[in-house]
Amino acid sequence: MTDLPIDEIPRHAALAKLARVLEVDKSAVEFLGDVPVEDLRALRNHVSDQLHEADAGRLSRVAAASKLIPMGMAASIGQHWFGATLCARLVGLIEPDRGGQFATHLDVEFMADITVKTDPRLVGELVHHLPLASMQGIATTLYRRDDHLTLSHFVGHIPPPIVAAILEALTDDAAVVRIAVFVEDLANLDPVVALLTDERLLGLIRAVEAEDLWVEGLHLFGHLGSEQIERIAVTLVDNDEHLLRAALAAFDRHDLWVEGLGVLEVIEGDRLAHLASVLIELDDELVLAAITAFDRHDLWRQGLEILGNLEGEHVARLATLLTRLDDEVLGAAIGAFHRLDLWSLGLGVLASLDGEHIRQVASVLVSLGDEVIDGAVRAAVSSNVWEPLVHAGLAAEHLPDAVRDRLVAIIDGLDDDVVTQFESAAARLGHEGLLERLLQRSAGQPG
Amino acid sequence: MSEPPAVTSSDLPDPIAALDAGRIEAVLRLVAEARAAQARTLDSAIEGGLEHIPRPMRGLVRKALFRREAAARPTSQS
Repeated sequence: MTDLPIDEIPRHAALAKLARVLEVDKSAVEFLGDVPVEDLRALRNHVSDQLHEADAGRLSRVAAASKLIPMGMAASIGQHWFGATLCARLVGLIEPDRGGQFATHLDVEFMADITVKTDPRLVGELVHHLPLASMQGIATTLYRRDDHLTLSHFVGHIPPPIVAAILEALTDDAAVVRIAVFVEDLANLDPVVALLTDERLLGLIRAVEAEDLWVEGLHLFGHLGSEQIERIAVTLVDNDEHLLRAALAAFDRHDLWVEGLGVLEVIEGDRLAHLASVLIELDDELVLAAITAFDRHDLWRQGLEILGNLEGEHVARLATLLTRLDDEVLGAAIGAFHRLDLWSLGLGVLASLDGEHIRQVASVLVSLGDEVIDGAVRAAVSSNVWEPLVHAGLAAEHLPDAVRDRLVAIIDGLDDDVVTQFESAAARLGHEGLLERLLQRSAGQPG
Repeated sequence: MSEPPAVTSSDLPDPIAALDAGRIEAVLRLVAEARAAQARTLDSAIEGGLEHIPRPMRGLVRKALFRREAAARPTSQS
């Protein structure tokens, strides 16, 4: 896998390609490292144009003169005297059908060398005249050399069906992911991925997992269209749990929650419930890291859309884990329950805690302000979930006066029959007269 | 060997031409070196390639390669 942060990949690729056009080591162009990637690409194309134009007259005459001798001889002279760089300059000057014929006279290693030096903008019609076997041979050779950069260079300049056909020759299921690292406009890979069979797509994701290529994989997946993202998300969720667990662990290991949830957020229905159950069954530390990441990256919407599908024991497990968060993250989680209208989950979490932990959570809840308290109380009332509310009341007995007063005012302001239900619930839980005590405290009288 | 015209900052794309003078100079140097290397390689490739062509064909190919260049030279040097 690359050691680069995902955001640095385009810059790395742009510098590497510029260095290649200039025929220098990448270190020789590192001084342009802070130049925007788009400008580096413009410079590369500009340099390539200059190099083509600099000797355009002589190169044109070489192309014309090559017709005066047998093609095999011209190919031999090209390989042994001109070399790959100059032959690459001739690519755009030789008629495409002749270019295709040359392929039958050149060995695949040399054609791969030429491909390395060829400006992909000049390939044009040539790909329609090159035998597929030659292109697959070139690709296989470049791949064996780990030259993903050259392979990437042609994506966007070669029709997607041809790219897909070339990829078929590569035995590595993760080929498209490795190549994608260097592809400038990843949207160009969408139709290529669309042509991959479901089996190959599963193989791709398994290879990503096996070789820990998640940074590269999510770099690609995040740039695909919604249809292909959904295929990938469904492939991840529908297959063995090990794959999904490994993906979630990788999201944490590489801090790829933004990118990972960006893919998984298209999941719906039973698949979402399955995803939620796999997530909550991860090791405690991983689940806590995920929730902390939701807060750090403002991923509460995506995160709670998943966790909102938890049921029964899984809700209880979430509740237990939430109590291990520091108050700031716990407060953010409760705020998200409110903001995203997910009190059904929030109350479920509260209801599954014991009294002590309910008071811990309630203490944080009531510190979040009137609006959140009001939302929680009304949700509890409408859901007929009284226990958390009673414990919130108990917690309020130990809270600063101002906070307690807000809670009491909200409860006291409810309809009479609701207040009655609250008092009944408190009595049932062994706290008869709770509201009255709270009211007395709020009024400044001893409880 | 034909000398390519010098590359100047005005030949560079606008965002690159707007860089500081030191970096512009470094870019221009890299481009000039790449062009010079290409021209040298082309010179030796043409000479070496010609030697590889059987004598009966060589004259014709040489003519095709150099006829117009010879005619063009005075213009490019003017």
